[in-house]
Amino acid sequence: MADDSGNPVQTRDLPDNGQHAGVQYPPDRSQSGCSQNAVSAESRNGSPFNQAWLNRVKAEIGVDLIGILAVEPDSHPDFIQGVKTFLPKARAAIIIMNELASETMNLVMHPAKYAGKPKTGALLAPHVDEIHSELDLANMQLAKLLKREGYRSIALPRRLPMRAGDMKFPLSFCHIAEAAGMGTIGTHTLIITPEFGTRVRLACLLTEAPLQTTRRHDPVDDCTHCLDCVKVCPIGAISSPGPGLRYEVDAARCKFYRDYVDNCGLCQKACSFATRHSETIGPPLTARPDAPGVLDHLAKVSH
Amino acid sequence: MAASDEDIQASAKMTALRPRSMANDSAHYFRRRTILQVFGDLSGLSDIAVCAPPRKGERGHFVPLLDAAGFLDADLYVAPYENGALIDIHADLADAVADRLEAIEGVNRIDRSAGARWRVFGELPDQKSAVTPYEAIRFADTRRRELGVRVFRDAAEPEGLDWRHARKWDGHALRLGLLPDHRCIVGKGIKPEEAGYHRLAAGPDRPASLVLSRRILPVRVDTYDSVLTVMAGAPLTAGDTVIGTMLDQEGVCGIALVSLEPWRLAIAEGARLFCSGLPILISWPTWLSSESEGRVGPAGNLI
Repeated sequence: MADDSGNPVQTRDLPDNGQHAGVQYPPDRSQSGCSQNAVSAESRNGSPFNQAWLNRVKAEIGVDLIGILAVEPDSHPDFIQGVKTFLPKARAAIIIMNELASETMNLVMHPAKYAGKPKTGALLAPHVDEIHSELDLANMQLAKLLKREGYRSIALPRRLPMRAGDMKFPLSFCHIAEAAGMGTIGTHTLIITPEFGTRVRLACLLTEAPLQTTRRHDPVDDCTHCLDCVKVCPIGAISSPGPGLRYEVDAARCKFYRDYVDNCGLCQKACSFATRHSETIGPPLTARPDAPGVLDHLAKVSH
Repeated sequence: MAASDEDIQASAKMTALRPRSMANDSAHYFRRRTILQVFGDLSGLSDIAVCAPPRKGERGHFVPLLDAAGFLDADLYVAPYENGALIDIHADLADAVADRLEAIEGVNRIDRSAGARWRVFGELPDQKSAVTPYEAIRFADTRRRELGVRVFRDAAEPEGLDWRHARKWDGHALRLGLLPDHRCIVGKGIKPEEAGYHRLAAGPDRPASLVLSRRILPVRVDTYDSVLTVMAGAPLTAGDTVIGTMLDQEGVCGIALVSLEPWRLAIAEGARLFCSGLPILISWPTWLSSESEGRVGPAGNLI
């Protein structure tokens, strides 16, 4: 995890309909010698919600990544409306993410390649369910923690009720994550994080706690625009509607296919390789001492 | 009158070719590009370009031309052909460049009408073109792998119904932070390094380190409606400060020459960026990441 030094950046509000929001990135620090991050008045006045609090919460609930997007008057109307649907006085949305195992992700193959072989890609669906269960548990713990501190909070379910008449959710977790500086939405409309690429699952919590938006130092657009995801999609669900327009996913077509083949995941897998986040090949894994270890989890379960 | 055997064979050949060409061909057709055919030795081009042109037997590649002051001029794609080379160039710049090429020692003659015998195409990584018996010259775009390949195809080939408009290819180049063509920067005093072309130069010509005050970067128009405004040439502003100039734009994607220090200061002050009255976001493309300080985790700088 990074220290507090870095560039002050400007976060942007939330888009709708699969459009990119984003974090405005500063120029390269190595070239321009950017200054220390600005400290907000609230933080200087000794707000309990500082970096140490975030680190403590992250370790306590045992998630891999965490980010915050504050609800502000100039936030995107869809974000404000979506938040108020669930918690009218919410002041922030918290996104938590857990990593999907690269080993499982890499078992996914194009259907034609399964001929005469075990359909190993079917392991992805139960693995995703496990990660979702972990995230739901962590989300509930976080909601309880914030309630103990005196703030109403709601841990949103991973499948929100859709808007009437279309296949859109009232809140897009990916867009909140992008605006919270956790990554970039790629051509496939999935979030690409610097740590795990697309190999993540998200959960969201709304709270009345006065949290600040997390900001990102890194100026890099995580999507390489390699179009590997477009190429690999077996049903051609990813396409650009016209010159200079954002790529879109035909949600109905994608969902139909995923239901038909027990999870697809080919675009996620292709992106993992393209952005060098696939851990199955390459050098041996390195230990991550900051990540919660197995013993921490066991201790938590045994209590 | 009965048709001769030759006519029947020719007709059968055309019938067999046309459906394949139309059905399987999704390349981008660059109507605005033309071809110059150079006869003679083109090695003298390296004196007025960022990199040396390909020699006979080598594959074609991108050769950015420099003006007398060392700033970027026209963009050329040079492919060795017969006793010389074919040069793909924007039609508006063709005459001026042909005059300069004729002055190079070793160049015997330039056929300015070769554009009538060739069509220029761009294929992105997710695309393919039909395989036909007509002559075609293919080579990778050396600027970035994600830009796919350039193809010169015989103009006698039947036209495909699925050929795409060049501006769609342009939109992809803009997302990557690369100039679709140099027409918008000719005479504007832009150094090759500012466009990221220093990597094209080999050996001692490649600069060891870069200290740049401005850079060509991708810009995204931060709006959720159709962008009908033509922004090319308009200034990027942060309050009263001009931080750059929009060079080219298609839909929500654009490319701008950004002054890095004013941009950093604008972000530090929390100023929103605008161009032609619309909010914009400037980002740092993935392929420039090796020049930045590296990746920093999300939520690392919660205030």
